[in-house]
Amino acid sequence: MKWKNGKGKPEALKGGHVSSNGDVGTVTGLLKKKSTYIFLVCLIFVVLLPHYSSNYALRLMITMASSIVAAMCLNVVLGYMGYPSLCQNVFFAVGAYTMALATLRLGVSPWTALFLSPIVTFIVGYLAAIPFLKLRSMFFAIGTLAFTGVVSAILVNLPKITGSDAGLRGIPRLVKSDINFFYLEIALILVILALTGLMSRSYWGKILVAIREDEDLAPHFGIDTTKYKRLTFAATSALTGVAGAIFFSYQTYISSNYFTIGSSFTALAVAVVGGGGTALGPIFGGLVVVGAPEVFRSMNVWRPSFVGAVLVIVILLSPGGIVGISQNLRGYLRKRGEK
Amino acid sequence: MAEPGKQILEIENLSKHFGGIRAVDELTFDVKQGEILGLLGPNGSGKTTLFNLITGVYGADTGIIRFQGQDITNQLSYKIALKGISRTFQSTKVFHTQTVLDNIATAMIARARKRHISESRKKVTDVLEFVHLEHVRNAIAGDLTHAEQRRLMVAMAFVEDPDLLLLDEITAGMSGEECNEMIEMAKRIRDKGATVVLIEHNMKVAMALSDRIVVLNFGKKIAEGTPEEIATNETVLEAYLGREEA
Repeated sequence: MKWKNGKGKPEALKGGHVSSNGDVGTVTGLLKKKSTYIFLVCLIFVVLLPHYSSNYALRLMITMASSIVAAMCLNVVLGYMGYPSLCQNVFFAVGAYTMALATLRLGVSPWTALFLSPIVTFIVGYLAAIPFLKLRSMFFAIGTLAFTGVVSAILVNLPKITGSDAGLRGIPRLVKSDINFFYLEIALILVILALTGLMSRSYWGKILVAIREDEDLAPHFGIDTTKYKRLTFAATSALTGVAGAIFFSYQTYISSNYFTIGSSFTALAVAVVGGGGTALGPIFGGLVVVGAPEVFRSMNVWRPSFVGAVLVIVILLSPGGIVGISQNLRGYLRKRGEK
Repeated sequence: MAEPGKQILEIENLSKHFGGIRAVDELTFDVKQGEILGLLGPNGSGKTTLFNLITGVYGADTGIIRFQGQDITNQLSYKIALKGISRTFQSTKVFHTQTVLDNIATAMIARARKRHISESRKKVTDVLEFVHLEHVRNAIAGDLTHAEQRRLMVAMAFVEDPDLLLLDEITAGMSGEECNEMIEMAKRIRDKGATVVLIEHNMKVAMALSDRIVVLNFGKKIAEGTPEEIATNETVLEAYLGREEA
């Protein structure tokens, strides 16, 4: 994503004015306040965490981090642009299979493959955007869900290439230690956080919000909605692809079982539970949606229903997700303080 | 800028059918640089469909639309907007969850030419003053009154000084007082030298504002002339005024 500088874009007119529709979470805005320090403390905590974690916990954290990346990307498409995509894990898969096939079949180094995966995913994302972004709301959701089904079927039915459900083994690792894999994912999260922050403050973010608010109105101001929709969709797909490539390089094993229709809801759940249209939402969402099933591991067969119930309760209590809850709570405490 | 009196918009044999309904039927007329052209006609006479054809919302079945000599028939809406045609809508359309400033900023983004920020700032200040919305600049558009929202919509269309401004019933759903305010505003737009095509249901408003009037009925042009000529035209009285009196 690029934004042209020095063009006198109107958002620069507004000085310190913060967009008022709840698009909090612009990184630069947060960093001006004491949240800078909170952010730094969190970062140090995250950096130190894996050194004191068990292998199991570290594995969970890496899984969480890659779900968070997928959800952060989806969040841009869903929260800013207003398109409920259900094919986020397709791009996770494309990135992952690019890593697997490029290293195993073409014999390139994993770092070259890591460089290739966003390029391939960007192209696939762009091509998918052409038909699917012509659909709106529910129809877009159904269309992208079907796309996930199609890709999933392809992965299962091309065993010679994808290894089907038996999978491909021996994907080379980008870095040796698990801790460094965790750091790679965290670095990717920070990059996406920064990009989302920049995007939401730039004219690009304004255009996405305009598309979400009234897609039929925006073109009458000269906005090429189709171009921005496709590029945003493809760019977020590419970043999701990077997460997929890193995760399966860490696993060293990939199989079509990871990319079923059911798993396509995970990214959506993470984004919605965290809070749509906020930069930090997916991080909280990832902690809950990926973390909760582990916490309730002892419940055995009841686990999925229990996790589902938790998600439903979060959404019922706060349509703004977890970020929404914390905002409501802050408002409530402030009111009590005034009494 | 072309000299006044030159045709800025030419419409030739334009037709649009919806199923069996001929919404716009073999329509031909011109808009001249610097004039205010009133489009008059009963409900369903094809006025809004015509705007939708000019701005690329619908594709035309037959006919040609030329803007500043260029064929713009069936082009994409955003390209037409970038060429300098701006419009408002009959039903109020703004970005409801955004502030007034954000709305105007969004309207400017794509059309802002390469220029200094201070110039953009000035444009915003000017346009807010122009439509009397300075006092609500940080308010959410959805919280504004109906009249304020409609003024905001005009501001968003007008802010980048379009070569041609299409106003679709700017007084729709307004009370007498608000109506007068809107007419005042339209007059000021005219005084700024903009070329305007005005859809107006209200005969009085159309007569007061327009230099020239085209009357439509069932998608066809039934009369064209100065407000005085239209006011005494038999066909118009029959098709339009006659119905209102009944």
